[in-house]
Amino acid sequence: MPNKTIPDYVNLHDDHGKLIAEKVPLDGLDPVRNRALMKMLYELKRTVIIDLAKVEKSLRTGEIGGEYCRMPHYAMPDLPLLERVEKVRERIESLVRTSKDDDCKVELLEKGRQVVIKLPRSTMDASADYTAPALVGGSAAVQSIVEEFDISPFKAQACSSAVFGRYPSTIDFKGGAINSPFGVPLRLEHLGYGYRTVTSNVIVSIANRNAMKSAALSGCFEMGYLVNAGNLLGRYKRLYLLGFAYECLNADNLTYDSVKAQGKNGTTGKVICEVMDRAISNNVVRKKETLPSGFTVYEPVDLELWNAYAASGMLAATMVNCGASRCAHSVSSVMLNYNEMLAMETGLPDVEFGRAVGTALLLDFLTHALYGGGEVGLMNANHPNLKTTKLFAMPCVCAATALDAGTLTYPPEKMAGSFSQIFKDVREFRDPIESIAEAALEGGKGSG
Amino acid sequence: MQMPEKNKRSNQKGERYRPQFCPGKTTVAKNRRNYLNPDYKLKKIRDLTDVDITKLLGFRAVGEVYKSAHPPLDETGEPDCPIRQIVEPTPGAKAGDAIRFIQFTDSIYFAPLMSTMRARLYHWRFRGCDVGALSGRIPLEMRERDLEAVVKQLLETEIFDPAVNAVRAITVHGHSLRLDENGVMFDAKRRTLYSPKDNCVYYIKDQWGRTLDAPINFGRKADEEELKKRTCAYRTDNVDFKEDEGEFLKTINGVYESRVRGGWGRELPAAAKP
Repeated sequence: MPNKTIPDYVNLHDDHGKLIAEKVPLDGLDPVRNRALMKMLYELKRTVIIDLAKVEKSLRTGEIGGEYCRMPHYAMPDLPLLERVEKVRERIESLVRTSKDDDCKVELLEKGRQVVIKLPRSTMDASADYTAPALVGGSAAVQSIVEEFDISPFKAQACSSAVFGRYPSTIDFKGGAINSPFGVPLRLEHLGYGYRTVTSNVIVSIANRNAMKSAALSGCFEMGYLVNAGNLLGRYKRLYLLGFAYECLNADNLTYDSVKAQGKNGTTGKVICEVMDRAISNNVVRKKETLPSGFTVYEPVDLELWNAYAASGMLAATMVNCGASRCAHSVSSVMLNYNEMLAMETGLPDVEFGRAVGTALLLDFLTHALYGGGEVGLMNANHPNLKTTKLFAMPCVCAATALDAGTLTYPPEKMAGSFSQIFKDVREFRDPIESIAEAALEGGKGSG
Repeated sequence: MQMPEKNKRSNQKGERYRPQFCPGKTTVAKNRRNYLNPDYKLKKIRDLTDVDITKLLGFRAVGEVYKSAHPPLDETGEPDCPIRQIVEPTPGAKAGDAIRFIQFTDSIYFAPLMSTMRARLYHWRFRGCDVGALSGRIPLEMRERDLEAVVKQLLETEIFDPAVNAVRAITVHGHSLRLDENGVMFDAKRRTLYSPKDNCVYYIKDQWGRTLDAPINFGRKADEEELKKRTCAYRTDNVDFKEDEGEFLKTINGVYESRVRGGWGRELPAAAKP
């Protein structure tokens, strides 16, 4: 049972370690009670980018649907799509908008090379899942191009393939021009994993390479998943809410303090000492037994709060080690050895009771070309490996990606650069910790 | 806001938490604690030059500039991130060095250090390290000049014996094989040469198995009795794990009990309690 002597309120600090909200009720961090979190999930869910430059190139060359698909007879070499993007945008908006004052947005990006489509709430409400932006936006783009350039019925199919790629012959939009933050439902590892398909590169791009904000955003999407998949209920609710607060929202400034103390000379091991210092002094853990050799075995006073402390330390260790080398690849090694060293050092349970260490071990293989896999930036939580740890692993992966200085083959700028532009006006993405804290203070009062 | 000062100390005397590393009373446990402890100065038992290290790693010619993965941080500038401001980059990261590695194979026959302890040692002592997770070999990846700086410590001190520890980038097989008649670990690429005359082990090839222009003398190999004192692995024919079993099991039991309790999400029912 949760220890009732420790009240479930947290003090949240921003990415500079500055106190921004005191006594935030833990319950207010539940996405269903937090309007900032709901806004972020909603904004992400309704957004899609169509790469018009890619559509034009496909139609010009006849290379439709990606590699090995060359169909010159479908080519339209003289289609001046990029010259008339504004008109195409207007047509898309007229198709997508449901009423004059709805919240639909259709905007051009990258000097008209891309168009970002944000569906209105009514369309999202009517949809069964999160694929509406890709399908509605994609269809609107196809029809707009066909109409704008008065394309014949014999070649119109090429426009569809240029936008949607090989879909529906493939299960995703292979070779198409649809750039969605989400993966397609048919690639989900389990039901309810939609929010987990957002890759580390997309998250880091939205956070503009700010490590702490990357971790916070990653945590938000994981929380969305926890709600969706029925994990934020009953006996596990406090575990994940505390973990979210301490690991992703810098509660009690634990993460920032640990990183600051060890930023110059620290190592993974020394971050463990920082966390233990705070855990002992705040009575989160206590001495259980001193063994004949003088080794002290500790035990958690509040198991869930201890898990949150340990998770915060795992992120801090990632920031110290990956930050020192300005290289993302070591995140798996940090997660693995942090947890192992912590358990053997104290007798306390590791992050998420063994799940984080297991995830880290396989992640080490996958990101170091032992069993194939991929790069840290390409990872998402909808992965056979990273799915194993709910909430706690992905923020570390995102923070590591954010701290990389250029060792990645597929960096965020290359893979998901546009996402840094499309959410810059949304305050919840710009200042996630502040927004969530404010909303929690409003929403959490008296909610139990 | 900084936490109140009292929160930063583990007890009222103002003492910091002191790392314990591992339980146990035997010499093996003590060795583990010494090797892992970043405040313990590893005993130096041989001298290697910077040139020797560069040649052994085999990534660049002696005197050649470090290859870079990206321009120096001073030139590119860094994104506006508070964490980057408080975490100092290593010299290699500052310069934008490429990531390089050294890989060790450690014999099960009383090697001073083995894979699991190496991973922990690296993470206790080094910044910016990336350690592989394997049983018979263990790579350490770092920015190139950072790697060269720590490799000296790994090769010159008591944690390395040239007969039972080996530097092998490829063809690592040998850690679980019986030692040869001279007490040297098997190496399919024959990177080392044992000289009975002076009881010394020479590296005649680099870690990739490419012949060196001049052998590197790693000094005398330790005899078995000495290795038995330096090793941090339990073995029935040396320090038996049973001697420390009680303490280890108490520690591990605590971890596992809490794991089960955490996974269950409530106090365990009476039937599930040990």
